Amino acid sequence: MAALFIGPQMAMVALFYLWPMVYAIYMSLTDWSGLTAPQFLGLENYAKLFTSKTALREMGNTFTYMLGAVPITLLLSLLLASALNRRIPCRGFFRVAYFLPAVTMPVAVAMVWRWLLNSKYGIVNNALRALGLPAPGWLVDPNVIMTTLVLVTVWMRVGYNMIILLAGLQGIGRQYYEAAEVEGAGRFAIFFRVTLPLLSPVLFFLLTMMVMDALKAFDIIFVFSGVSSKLAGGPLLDATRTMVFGIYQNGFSFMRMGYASAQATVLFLIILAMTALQFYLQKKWVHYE
Amino acid sequence: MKRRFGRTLVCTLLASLLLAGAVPQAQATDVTTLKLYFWDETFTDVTQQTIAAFEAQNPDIKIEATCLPWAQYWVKIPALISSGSDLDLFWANVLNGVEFINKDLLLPLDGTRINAAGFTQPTIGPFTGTQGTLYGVPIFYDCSGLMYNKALFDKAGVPYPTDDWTWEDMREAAKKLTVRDENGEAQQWGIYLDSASDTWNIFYTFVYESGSDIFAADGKSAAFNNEKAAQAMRFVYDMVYADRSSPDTQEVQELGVTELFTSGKVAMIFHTTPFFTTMYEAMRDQVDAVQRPAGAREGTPLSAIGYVASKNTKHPEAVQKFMDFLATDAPNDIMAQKNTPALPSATEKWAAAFPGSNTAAWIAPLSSGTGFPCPYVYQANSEVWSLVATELNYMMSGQKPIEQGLADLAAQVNALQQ
Amino acid sequence: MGLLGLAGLLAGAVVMLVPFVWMALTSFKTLVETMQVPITWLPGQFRLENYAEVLLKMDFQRYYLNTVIMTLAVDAAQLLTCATAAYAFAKMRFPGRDALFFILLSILMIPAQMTLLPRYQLMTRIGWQNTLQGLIVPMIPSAYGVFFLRQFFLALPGDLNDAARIDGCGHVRTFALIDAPLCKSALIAYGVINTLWAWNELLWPLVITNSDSMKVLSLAMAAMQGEHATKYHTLMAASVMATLPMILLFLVAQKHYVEGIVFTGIKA
Repeated sequence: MAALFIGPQMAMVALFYLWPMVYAIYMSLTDWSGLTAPQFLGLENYAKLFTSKTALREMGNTFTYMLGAVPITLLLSLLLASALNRRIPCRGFFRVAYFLPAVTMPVAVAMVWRWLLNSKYGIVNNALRALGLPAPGWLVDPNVIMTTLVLVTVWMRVGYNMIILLAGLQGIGRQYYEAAEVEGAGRFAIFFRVTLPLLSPVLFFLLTMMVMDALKAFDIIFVFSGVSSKLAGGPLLDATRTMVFGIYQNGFSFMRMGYASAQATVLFLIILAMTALQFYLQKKWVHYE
Repeated sequence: MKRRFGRTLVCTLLASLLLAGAVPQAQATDVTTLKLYFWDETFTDVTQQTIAAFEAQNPDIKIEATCLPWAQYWVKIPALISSGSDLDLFWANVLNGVEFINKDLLLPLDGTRINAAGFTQPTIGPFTGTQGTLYGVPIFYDCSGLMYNKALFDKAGVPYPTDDWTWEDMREAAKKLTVRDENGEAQQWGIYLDSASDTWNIFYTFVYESGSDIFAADGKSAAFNNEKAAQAMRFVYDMVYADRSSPDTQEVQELGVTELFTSGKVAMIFHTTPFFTTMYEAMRDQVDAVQRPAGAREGTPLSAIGYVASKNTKHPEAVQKFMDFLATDAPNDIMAQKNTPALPSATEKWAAAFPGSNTAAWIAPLSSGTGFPCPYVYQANSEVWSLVATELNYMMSGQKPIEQGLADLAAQVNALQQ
Repeated sequence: MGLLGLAGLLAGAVVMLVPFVWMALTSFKTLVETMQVPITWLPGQFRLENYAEVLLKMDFQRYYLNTVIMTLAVDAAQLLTCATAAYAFAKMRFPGRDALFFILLSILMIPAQMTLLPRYQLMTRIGWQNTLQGLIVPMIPSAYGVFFLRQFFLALPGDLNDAARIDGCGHVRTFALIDAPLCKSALIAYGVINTLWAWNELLWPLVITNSDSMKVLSLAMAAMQGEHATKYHTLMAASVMATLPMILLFLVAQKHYVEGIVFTGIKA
């Protein structure tokens, strides 16, 4: 019976994901260019990977990005979903407004943000200067650009997460709130003792997925400081390039698929470890019925 | 309610699959169908017309053309090559054409049937292998010229650039055309030098114009680690930081050359033929261009695009016929409606669409010997391009002395060449 | 929610809206207007030429149709197979359940770029390249969907299932008649997110389709971004037309979010 329920998904997963994964791991042991016949290399790609300054920098950037983007996004999404779950005026408008970044074309997003964050003419810096605050070079200072990308990521993802959290909040039976009110619990107490625990399965999902997505970050780098903007190299790219960017560049720009597969395998193992850790820790804070 | 929902889902799924089957498959009678790919959607008309002209002469061959997005073009083509099917003809630029030739992925053509002599070296050279075998036929080229805004020159009382300009002329004019306000903020720049990342227009071209080679003739090592190249880079550096006639490395990352020129905030820019076409349509007699100013010698970067064929093609004879056709006048005349065609005899037709303009800037480099195609090394060419951009950035932002940057870059390039 | 909170919400909403508003306004501009510094907001004139160009010069309707078919098929198949799989992983006991779930999850740890070439070679071998089934079927497996819905099923009180079991319901009926309806919000949310993903998916359609007639919207719009220059005015027009269904979908979906579910079923 269980086979019937999970069969279709598992079968397709095996065919379309597990097989390519095995293929990729095999290719990581060769010098495959993506075009010509591969030659076996053993672990040479991995050795090169761990001694390459660029690859190590990519790992560092990826972690920095993850550590910045995930907590901030999660927190803001939670606040937002709570706010938009209440009966407030124009709630529908707000929900759509916060959802729009999820459907705005990345090219348009980059165009507008590049202008808003322009260090000389952008509104953001003009406002900061008017308030007497420092006005950094958001997209041109290598020390700041990662922060900028994290903030843009938060901006893009908050609406997305809001959809999920709204569903989660609405799955919480009213009887819990009624019981808590009967006991005279205040708003904060209700939030921390009732809402959050009951929301924890969904929060767990979001946290796990966001960590995975952050570790696989590519599109935003691509659009803001990578190949599709003007930069082909330099300190700005060095400050933002992530592991998947490296995989893309090595695999498709430089035609070094074997090396890119090795990078992908290492990334896979890192994500695997992080996810396993999160699953282990879920016993401590996630409440299932 | 649930049951109906489930049933609806299954029905939708089945319906879609049936629809998929209903899509007509290609007819495989005695008509050979070739698959052709290109990456610039603005060339769709010209491509269709060329195909139509070819099919008129060859009724037993049909060509199906698909436009792919540029950013993903080099993801798609390797996928097609590695699967060995559905790929006959495709656009290649110089960099990738050379790489594919070296990796033995392209169909060698019968050069005796193609009038290769009609083309000039900068366009046909990159599609020719080291043994002289022809692998592709160029169809059009872009080259880099010095475009300028006449109104700004008039306002400053500076005479227009000419095809005989030198670096010094350019430098003097740029200084006079830069306008700054009381706070020292630039209201207008004389020139736009993309010193942050422009491998080709800045690094390769200025080094070439200084008289130095860029890579060795055998394509296996760097040849720019010398005093001439260093002087060239110092010249660019001085124009940006000493004269302050161009946005600096940081500003260049925030302000695009296209936007600045269209807004009339920069008087001179280096740009390519398609941009000139767009600007001419928009600004007509306000805009003109001259050939790149000469250093120790003249040099114009010239990028040719041509068709190449996959080695795995199932229809080599049909492909060959198409290549023969490309070397004739008809497709080049069609191409002349859109961009400078590769066949020199057809370039006048392109020029006819720009009366009153110095079209020699875009045509002369093709045949005069000043045009040079993108320099390449044989190993890891794309990676070298990226390394150049990085080192250029460090040199031009003052983070590395120029001699140091050149030396480091040469070492890295050579290291990749085993 | 105090006035301050509302003000903050409004400020945030404005920040969220700005790029989309720019996108919509730009769809009415001329090419030169899009190439200005500082960037322009309002078009000089609200011209519809860009929309006309996209609709008439490109095979836009065809791309639209392709995208709709692809999205509907993928949606339907995923909703069905992921919901059942999620239910199984949440509520059924069978040997190797947790191990299989983790294997399923592991596919999310591979960057998509790595799966492209092997999948395409697989498709070519069975002759499915450049076909609708070749496009749709590899998009159906979704660990995201299974994981997402599993969490919601796990959060349902176990007493309901026990009650159902005592009443003699097998798994299929428990799933279809009890658990799925209770997760209506989750299924709607999943539907929205999934539709959005399928609608905008670029890499797989790029690799699997080899002709113009098979293109989807995301591909067509990517093709409008050139190597050196992008025609923003027409691109934004295409983008607005491509985005409208998604906004409509969200508007409809968010109306159906049910507020709090009362588990009266337990008492019965």
